[in-house]
Order: sequence, then structure tokens, then C-alpha cells
Amino acid sequence: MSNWWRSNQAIGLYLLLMIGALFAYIWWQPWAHRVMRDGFLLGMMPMMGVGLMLLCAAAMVVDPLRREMPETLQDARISDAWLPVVMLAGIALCFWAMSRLGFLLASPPFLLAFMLWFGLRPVRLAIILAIVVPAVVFAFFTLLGVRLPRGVLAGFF
Amino acid sequence: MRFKTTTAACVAAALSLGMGSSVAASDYPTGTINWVIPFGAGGGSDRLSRMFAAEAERHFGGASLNVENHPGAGAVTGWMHVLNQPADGYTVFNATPTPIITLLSEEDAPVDPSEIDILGYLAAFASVLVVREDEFPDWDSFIAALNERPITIGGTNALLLGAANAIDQAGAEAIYVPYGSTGESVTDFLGGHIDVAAVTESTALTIVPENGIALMNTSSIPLPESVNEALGNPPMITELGYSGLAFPRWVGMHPDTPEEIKARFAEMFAAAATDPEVEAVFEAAGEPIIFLDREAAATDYEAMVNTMRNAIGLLQ
Amino acid sequence: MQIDAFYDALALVFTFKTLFWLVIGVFLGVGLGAIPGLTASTGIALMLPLSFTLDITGALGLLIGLYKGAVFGGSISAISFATPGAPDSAATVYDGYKLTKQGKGRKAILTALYSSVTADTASDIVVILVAPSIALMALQFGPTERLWLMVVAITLLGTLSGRHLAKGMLSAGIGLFLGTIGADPVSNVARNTFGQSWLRDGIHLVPLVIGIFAMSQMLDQGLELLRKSRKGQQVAQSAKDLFGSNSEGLSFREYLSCWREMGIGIGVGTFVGALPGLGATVASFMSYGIAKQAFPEKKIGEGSIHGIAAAEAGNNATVGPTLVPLLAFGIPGSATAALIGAALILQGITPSPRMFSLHADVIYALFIILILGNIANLGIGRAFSFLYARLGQVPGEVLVPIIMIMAVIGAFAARGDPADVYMMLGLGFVGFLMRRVGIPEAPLVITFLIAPLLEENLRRALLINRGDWGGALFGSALGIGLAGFAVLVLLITFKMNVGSKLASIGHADDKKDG
Repeated sequence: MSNWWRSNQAIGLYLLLMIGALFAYIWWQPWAHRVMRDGFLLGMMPMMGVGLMLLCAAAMVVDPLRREMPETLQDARISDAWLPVVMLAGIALCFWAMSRLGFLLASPPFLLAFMLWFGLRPVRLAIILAIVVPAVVFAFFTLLGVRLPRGVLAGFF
Repeated sequence: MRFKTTTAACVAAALSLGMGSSVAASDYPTGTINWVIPFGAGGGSDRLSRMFAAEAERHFGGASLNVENHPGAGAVTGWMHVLNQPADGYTVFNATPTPIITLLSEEDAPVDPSEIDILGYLAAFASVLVVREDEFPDWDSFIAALNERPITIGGTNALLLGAANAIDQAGAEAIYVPYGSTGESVTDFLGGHIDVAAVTESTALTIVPENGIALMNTSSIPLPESVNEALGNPPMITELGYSGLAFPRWVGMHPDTPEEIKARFAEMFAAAATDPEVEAVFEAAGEPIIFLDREAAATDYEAMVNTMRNAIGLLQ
Repeated sequence: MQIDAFYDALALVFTFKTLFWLVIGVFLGVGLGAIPGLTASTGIALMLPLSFTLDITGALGLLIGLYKGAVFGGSISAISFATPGAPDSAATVYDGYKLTKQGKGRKAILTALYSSVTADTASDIVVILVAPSIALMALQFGPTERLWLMVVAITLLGTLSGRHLAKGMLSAGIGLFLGTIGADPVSNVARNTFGQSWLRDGIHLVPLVIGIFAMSQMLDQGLELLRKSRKGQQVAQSAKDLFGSNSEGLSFREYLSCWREMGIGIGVGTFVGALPGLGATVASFMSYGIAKQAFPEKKIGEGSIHGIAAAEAGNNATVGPTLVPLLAFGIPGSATAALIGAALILQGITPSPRMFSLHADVIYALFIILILGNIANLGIGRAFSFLYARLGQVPGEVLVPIIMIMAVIGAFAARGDPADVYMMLGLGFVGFLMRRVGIPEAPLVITFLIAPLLEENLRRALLINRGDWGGALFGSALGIGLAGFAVLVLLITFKMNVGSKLASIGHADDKKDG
């Protein structure tokens, strides 16, 4: 039972707690019980959605597949949870930089960092790709008439 | 070293662009005027704004017009953006009633619809009630029928406000059926699923005369002559002594903008919107310009907000 | 009488200029469609200013070519990178990407291309022959009938749920919940926005699909790459294939073997396309679901060309029929049709019922362009499929960061709202977690799309019937018929799947216990 925490039953239980909290949150919102002119509650559909989730999470705790472990979780580690968060933070940072510095300045450092992080070697290839790819993408989008953020380079285009 | 020089050039370029917006009012305008619309690229408002920017630029004293899209939050994001920019006349807000409807529907709205200075209308579409002639030959029979039995009126949210405003003043009640798009509401009208369609004049032109008649124009602003004629000269709600509701494409600025700049802009905007060449382009696009000058627009805007406040209550 | 107009139309279409712009349109369309976030309607909006400068047939060639190309183009990146170029290609990801991983990317793209072109042509012919009848049929579909059509779509959820029904339905619940964020459809009051005003417009479909399908996949692959590089394993193996021997194509026999799936796609797509407000995404998921339901032996969802054929036939079959309400009544049934209508207006032709008599030559020219566009799509699509099938084999270390950037641009370009990008990233993480615990994505997308439509139509039907549920649900013979059909689909699903599912579950349970 050392692996119980990876089983469908355990996942169902985690979800039950999270979704339960969400349901409680919505239930206690004043807007959820406001009646619209056609007699429907403003919160009816959202609560139906959460209710369905709650029901399914509960089903996962008790249904015949409860002891099974999802294939993708069999060799899961803790790093599986935080590495994607780091990746997403990197992408968000890149987008934030894009809106200030412009696409052409913000994407090469991002691409270089991620390509190297993912293990692309030699470094020289990564540098070349990180410079060439944004330029090509920018040229292509400009050609199509889509304005990518220009940022501080705006004066040159 | 090469890199440093480039950076310096970038910074210089950025600074010189930024400076355009801090020069004295007497020089207004120079450089770029940002034409903010609260809708995404590709929609109807975007198309018309870009058309206006391209056609009317020459009237803006050498300044260039740059259309900026700031969509989101029921078209209020754009409004907030305008209020966060310096009140120097280089940020113009060109919107429709959508953000006003959002603000009036919210319990604690981030801004009040009065937090903008109206400098003119570029167009004002009407909510026209279209019906089947054999059912309701005229307004009086329509009101009489409303008092007898429930009648369904379909349209997008904004257009239903126009209908609700008119019918409420006539002392009658109807069932307002909201639709996400005009396409759906008109299909349901043609299929006989709803009794009345509340549509803009350009949509009405595709229904009248084959599939219905224009029963009433609920707007406060008259339609262009040619459109009115093609619709069979429908009566206007204002002729009955009621208040009408127009749906303008309005242009405004940050309320703290110096009066001198606002006056100058309103003047240039008026010149652009009444330029026959610009008018011809809009006419050809099927969206004729209905221009209201600063004073008339500001008056109508105030009345519109008050009317909408009431009408929105009818639809919630 | 009309034959003269037809000859005029031929003379209008078969000019160098018209054909040139048609080819340019298809070329741009396939290219744009393959980029996540740039959909057919974005592409047409971008090209609208250019179309003003052309004559009427040139403009129609450009826009319709672009439309057709873009709807097909979305499948290319769905197959090559598991990143649907547009929401309507999301259903193609399942089988397409699995085939790419097996080194059969080219076969998958060619299946998508041939089924797209076949279905597009067939539905165009239907439109040309019976546009007015389709339009009249569409008019019969009021809120009650549309409501039941949505119910039919929802009953397909069981099919798309995979082995574990509770997880599939959980995914549906998430979609339902996300779909309710925004403004209430009747009162326009904000609901479920967690007090955040930027959520008032709801979650947009494009960032949702990019996040759930593309970003989650990239996070997964990024993680895989990190493990490999830490272990010091060599991953250059895939780079070897890059310019190596030709990958497997598609034989004529295989193409023919998909006729049933294509038939389903044509039927569903033509009909859904003609109804306003539904669109290609609903059509492709419905067609995919029905095919999966009807032919369990074809293993759709596990890397089968039949799944691709069903989904891609479904979305492309909506292209011609979308124009039906516009041509018959002058009402645009979708954003894309509205833009094509705008182009017609700018050329001095107001779409309305009068168009057939006033501008018969233009209508015929439009019909001819619809058909010619498919031929152009076939040629250009083949060239692109070759290129992209190769790109799909670029090593992950290079591809994953680039797709991540493209996902950001795509989510931003669709509406230009920065909040969409952060939403896409957040949903990417949700999708990643779902994938980890074995929750399927398809039911989420279906309910996200369908549930709001179902709610809108139900509440409209109730308003129209003054709150009488009986009248709202069973007020018309067509409504009752569709309700019966929904029950039938549900029964078949139950009979065909649950029996075998229960057997396999029982078996799995025995194994674990024993």
C-alpha cells in the first residue's frame, strides 16, 4: 500500500477536497443565489459544473477502478510537479518581457535558455537558432500583417 | 561596443517617441495619436476604426492615427487603459455602448460611464423593430397585442435595450429573448420562433421588404434618408413623444484633458467625419457616417446613459 | 435564363487574376491555419483590407481560398506537434499525433488533406444544388431544436471519455464549469468570475485549446527531455530521420477505407455548418465522436487514420454550408461568413435574398470558386504536408521551446488580450495535471463549447414558452424527434460500450485483487 497515494482512489480524494472547497466558495457567494428574470439562479450552471465534478471525484473513490494507478503516475516524482511550474514561469516572464522589450529582444534569451536547459548541444547551434528563429517568425508574421509587440525597437520599423 | 551603440539608439528612439506626448497644448497634435478601441482585431469596430484612421488621418494636423486594440472585461479594459494614460490628447477612446452596458450591469463598476469626455459621434445605429406585416401592421396594433398576450422580441442584448425602452414607455410589457449574435436572432425570426426581431438598420435592410416590415425605429437619432426610404420610412419613437435610444460609435478623451486640446481635437474630428471623401468610403462599406458634433453628442450621451440605466433594469 | 449568368461567371472566374488570388489565398490559409491561434476568421480579417483593392472575383478567391486552406491547415500542426492550429482541429490531435510518434506523420497529414478536400467538395456540391432547401431546413431549428441537437452532442461524451467513465465525466464537469465563467446569457450579469473583472468576457476558446492541448503536451515533453538529458541519454536518434528516407505515404486503398468516416463528416459538417452559431469545432468533435461510437473496431483514438478522416471531414464540410444563411437570407451564420459578407458589401453587393436575382453571376462565380478552392487546397496542402511532416521530426530540444513561444503568440494574437496568455499558461498546467492522472481532455472541450449553447437555447426556449418546460422541450415534432435520437444514441452507447467496459473493469479488478 506504499503506492496508495498514486491510486485513482487517492486522486479522487484529493480532488474531492479541492472541488468541495470550490463548491463551498461558490455556495457562499451572494451572486450565486441571485434570481434572474427568467427564474434561473445566477449560480445554477456554475454549481451544476462543480456538482458534476464533485460527483465524479466521489465516484473515483469508490468505483471498481479505484485501486488502479494511472500509467503516467507510476514513475512520477516530486520534480514532475515543480519543473512544469518553472517552465511556465519562464514562459510568462518571456511574455512579460515581450510586451516591454518587444518580441525580437525577448524571445532569443528565452529560446536559448530553454534549448540549453532541455539539453541541446553544441551551444553554438543553440545560439544561432535562438537568433534566427525569432527573426524568421517575426518576418513571417509581419508579412502576414500580424503586428507582434515591437517594444523598444518600435522606432526602427 | 557595437551592441552598446545600438542600445543607446533604441533608448533614444524610445525617448523621442515618448516625448511626442508631453509637448505643450499649443503644438497639438504632433507625432502619433493612439486611437484606442476596446475590441479585438478583426471585428466590426476594429474594421471601421482602421478605415477611419486610414481615410481621415490627413485632417489631424500631420499627426498619425494608430489604432490600438485593448479588448477584455466587457470592453471596460480599454476604458481603464485610456484613463491610465496621460490626459494630453494623444489617447482617444472610440467605443460603442458595449462598455457602458457592462458598467451599468455591474454592482461595483470600476469606473462610471461619465468618466469620459465625449467629443463626437461617428455613427449611431438604431434598434429597429422588425415584424411580419400580417401580424402587426402598425405600432398601435402592436401595443394593443402586447397588452393582450405575451409577445417575444429577440435580439442581441444592446438592441433589446432599445426595444425595452420604447415598449416600457408605451406602458406595455414583452418577453425579451436575448441572443448572442444577430445571425441567430434573425434566423429564429425568419423561422417563426420569435414574433419580433430587434435589429440594426443594416440588418433590417436584408429582411425588409421580403420577410417583414420595419415597425418602429427606436433610436433618438434619425436614420440617413436613403436607409429610411429603403425600410419603408418607419416611424420614430421620438415622434410619439417618447425618448429614443441610439447606439453610437462615440469618440471621447480622458476627462482631465485641457479644454484647448479637446476643442482642437473635436474640430479636427468634425472636419474628418464630414469630409465627403471619407463619407463616401463609409457609405460604400455599408456603414454610412452619422456625425454628431461635440455638443450634440455629449447631450445625447448623457441622455443615453440615463435611459440605459433604466432599460437594463428591465432586462435583468 | 440563368445560363447566361453562369457563362458570365465562368468568364469572371477563369482569369489569371482570380486564379492567382485564389492560389495566394489557399497558400496563406494553410500557412496561417497551421499557426496556433491564427484561425480562419483572423486570417480573413487580416486580408480584408487587401481584398478591397481587388475586383469581386479576386476578393472572393482570396477570402474563400484562405478560409478553406486555414480550416485544413489547422490539422497540420495538430498532427505534427499535437498543437491544434485552430480549435476545430483539436479532435485531430488524438490520432494524428500518435501516428507522428510512430513515424507516420506524412500518412496522417495526407489523410487529413484528402478527407478535408473530399468533404469540402461534397458539401460544396450539396450547397450549390440545394442551398435554399438547407436554408429552409435550418429555419426549422429554433431554440428547442437546437437545444436537442446540443443534447445529442453531449451524449457523445460517453464515447470520448475513454476507459474510466468517472474521469471522463470529471473532465466534462471542468469544461462545464469553465464555460459558465463570464456573463449570464439572459441577464448579462457577471457570474463565476471570482470577482475578477477581466474574466467578464469568459474564457476564450483559442487560449483554452492551446493551453489544454498544446501547452500541456509541451510541458510533458519538456519534462521528458530534462530526464533524458540528466540521464545522459543520446536523443539524436530522431534527428537522423530528419532528412533521411521518405516516411510512409497514404495508399489509395487506405483513403477509400475511410469512406464511412468521411461520410459521417460530410453529413454532420454540412448540417452543423448551415446552422448559425455552432461552427467547425462542434462539427469536428461530433463527427469524431460518432465515428468512434459507430466503428469501435477501428480503434479510433489510438492512432488511426479513420479518426483523422472523421474529424477533418467534419470541420472542412462546414466551409461551404456556413455561407448558406448568408446567401439565402443575408444573415451571416458565423464570424467568417460575416467577414465574407463584409467583403461583398464593399464590392457593392449586399447579401440578401435578392442576391440570386440581382447578382446571379456573382453567386455562380462564388460557387465555381468554392469548387476550385478545393483543387488549389489539394495541391498546396500536399506541398505543405511534406514540409511539416519533416518539421515534426525536428528534435524536441529545439521544437519544444519554439512551440512554447508560438503558443504564447497564438494565445495573444487571437484577441490581443494579455490576460489570454496567462489564462493559456494556467490551463496548460491544468491540462498537464489532467494528463498525469489520466483524465481525458476531449470531454472538457466539448462541454466548454456545448454547455453554454445548451444553456442559452434552453433558457431562450423557456422564455419563448413563458416558463413552460413541456412546451420548451417538446413544443415541436422536430424537437421530439431529436430528443428520441438523443435517447437512441445514449442507448447504443450504453449497450455497445458499457457491456464491454464493465467486463474489462471487472477483469482489471480481479487482477488487482488477486
